Amino acid sequence: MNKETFLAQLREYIQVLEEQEQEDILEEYAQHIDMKRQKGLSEEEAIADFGSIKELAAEILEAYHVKPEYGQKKKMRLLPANMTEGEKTPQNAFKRFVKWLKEKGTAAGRFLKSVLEWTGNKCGALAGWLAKPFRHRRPCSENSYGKGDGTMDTTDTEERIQKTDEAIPKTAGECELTRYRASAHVRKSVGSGIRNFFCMTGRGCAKLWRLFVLCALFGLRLFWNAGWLLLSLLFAGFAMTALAGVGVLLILYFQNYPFGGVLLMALGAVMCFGALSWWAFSLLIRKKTKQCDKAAEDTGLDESDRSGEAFAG
Amino acid sequence: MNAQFKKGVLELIVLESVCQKDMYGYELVEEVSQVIDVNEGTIYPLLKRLTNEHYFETYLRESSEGPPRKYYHLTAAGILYRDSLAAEWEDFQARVNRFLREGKPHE
Repeated sequence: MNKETFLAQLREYIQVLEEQEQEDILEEYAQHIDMKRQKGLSEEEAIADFGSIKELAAEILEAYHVKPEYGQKKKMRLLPANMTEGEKTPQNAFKRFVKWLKEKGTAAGRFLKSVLEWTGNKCGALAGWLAKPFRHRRPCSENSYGKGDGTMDTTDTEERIQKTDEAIPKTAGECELTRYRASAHVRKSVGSGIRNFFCMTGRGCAKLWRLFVLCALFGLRLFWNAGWLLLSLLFAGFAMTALAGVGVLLILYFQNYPFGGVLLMALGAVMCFGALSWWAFSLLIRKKTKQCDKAAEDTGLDESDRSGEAFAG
Repeated sequence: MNAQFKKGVLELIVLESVCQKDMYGYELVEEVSQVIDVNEGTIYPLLKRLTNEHYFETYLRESSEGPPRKYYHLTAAGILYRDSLAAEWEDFQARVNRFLREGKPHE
């Protein structure tokens, strides 16, 4: 590899950087090669000392805090400069759509849950209020809580004391207080029961909604992948058929049959269907892999390694 | 030498080299190569990173042997960083040496 080729390849890998930075880097390497030549080495030898160009580019990009694999992607397929990385592929668009759907689904679930909880609270309060007139009111009489003179019939209230852990009212005011507490207890228990019911219903609905959204997303992804896979296989089948046709036509062509034009068409069909098949296959949504980490491992060490932490590891 | 060791210590060697005198890229590569055997290409990204982090500043100086050369100069931040790295290194290697000395009888 000569100097120009090396610099051109390196430039392709680091195209993500600003023009000025690219020039700056390439100038350094060009100067380095020139100095090596002055020392008597050939261009090839000087370039060989740099090692793998891909790893070198990865290190340069790391110095700019750019993901090293970005340079490799850029080399393979240059995309319009006005698009950001997240907008480039249909898979990413689908992922963004799924993410959006998940967010909206979660928000809707939360809203439903809060509405049901609020309804539960209000219904509980309403039920307590409605139940108020029908509550069992025990008059503060001689036969029940106390006698007419304000003293209590202790035999009747002993069980109540144990159950409610309340002090025995000994005066008319205390009797009234006890009655109020009893009615509040009834109201509270009725209200809280209804409220709990609605809260539980709300939580259940939210969970069901979340499950539904997840299932829908899974189904959507399955449907998407199945569709594109089938299409990809179909195109691959066409391509293979066209390839077989090319073989037959080639034989006939060499036997002086006038199939030159058809042969070219068949070749075109092979390439066309092959490309379509690959395109359809590339649209499959796959699970995230650890390519980034692997690429980073392959290309060198991370920041901590550079700062000497590698020793500590 | 272990590649991990080299990577870890490369930054300190580069900083120390430039601390002694301003150097241009190729000169620095030669200097570092005298200390450790390192891939020449890896020095330039390191220089670029240290420059981006304002530990180095660069200037051009005319050369009689060719085009102007870009010299690297250690900034005040770079000197502080170099000192902290050197102190870290001293402490680190002292600990490792002590451990290795103490570990030897048991082997």
